[in-house]
Amino acid sequence: MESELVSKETIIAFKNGEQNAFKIIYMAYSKAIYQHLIRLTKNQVMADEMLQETFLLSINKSAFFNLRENPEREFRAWLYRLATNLVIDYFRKEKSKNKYKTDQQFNSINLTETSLEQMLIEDETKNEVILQIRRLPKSQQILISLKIFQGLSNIEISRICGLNINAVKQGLFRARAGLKKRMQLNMEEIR
Amino acid sequence: MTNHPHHLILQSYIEQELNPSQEMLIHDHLGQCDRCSNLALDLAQVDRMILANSISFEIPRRVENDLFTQANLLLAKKAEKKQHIEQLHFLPPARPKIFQLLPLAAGLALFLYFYPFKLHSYNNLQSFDFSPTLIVSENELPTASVMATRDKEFTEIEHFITIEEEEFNEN
Repeated sequence: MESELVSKETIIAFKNGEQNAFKIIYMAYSKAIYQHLIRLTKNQVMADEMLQETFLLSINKSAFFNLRENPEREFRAWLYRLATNLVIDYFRKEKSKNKYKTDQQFNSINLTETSLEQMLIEDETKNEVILQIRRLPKSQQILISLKIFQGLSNIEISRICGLNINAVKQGLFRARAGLKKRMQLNMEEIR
Repeated sequence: MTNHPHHLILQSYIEQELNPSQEMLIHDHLGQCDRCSNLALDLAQVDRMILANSISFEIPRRVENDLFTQANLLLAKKAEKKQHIEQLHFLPPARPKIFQLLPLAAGLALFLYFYPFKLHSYNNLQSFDFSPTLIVSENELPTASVMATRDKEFTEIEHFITIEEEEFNEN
């Protein structure tokens, strides 16, 4: 599901603060970024907030985006980086919060997340695959979302995550192998 | 078959991120090696399984509306700021070219003041006759009457001196 790239002229116009350019960019990338955010956060409210924050940040920080070679791809990677950094910050906050949460609060959060999934996930197979992805480490979840769902290249992912390209490849391989193993184990258990 | 490609290369093959020559090599290898072809199939199967079970979410209208309202405000602010900066940039400076022109004018004045003098002295040197000549011109020599009065004064002084010497010797 690779989103269409916007032209260099649109990016320049966006940097100059033109509203039409912002609209074009929003139309091109918002849906893909929203899917990325909702898959990682598993929380629709947070994803809504983060989507807004990503695009507002992009306006505020557009001056910092440099039009180097291949600006179309670089711009898309830059937008994803803004979104992914927000998700990473969210994970960090959640981790520190969870340390001090009472059991009651913890259960209520789990309930809301599960109810959201129940609302969105229709059949058991989908539920199973999504649950297995959720059990992967966060870093691997990000890589899977960017590579398989968003269809980005390894170079773009390395820019977004600030990783070496070999680390991206290795992480993706581990995620795929881990998923395969988990799914096989699950199938054996069912049998 | 002992030379199996690295698992990351196999992964790049299923991701279609290899160049055509590498892709051909791996393709040929997979045709002969069960171990590698199984691994590649497994990796591709995971991708297919994830994609088949993906769910698409629609962005709520309310979120879009909120975002556009905030974004338009931000963009308007940004445009206003940019315009302000441009205006500042094109305003004439407070004391425009006086300070730039002052050193130039001073230099020109000095040049004009000294240039003719230099030229004059140089011309003098060029035309100066270094051969030995009379320092005082003939016109400036004292006249005969002036010389006569001077001689008379000298004789009077000499006479006065001799009288004084005689008186001193007598005493």
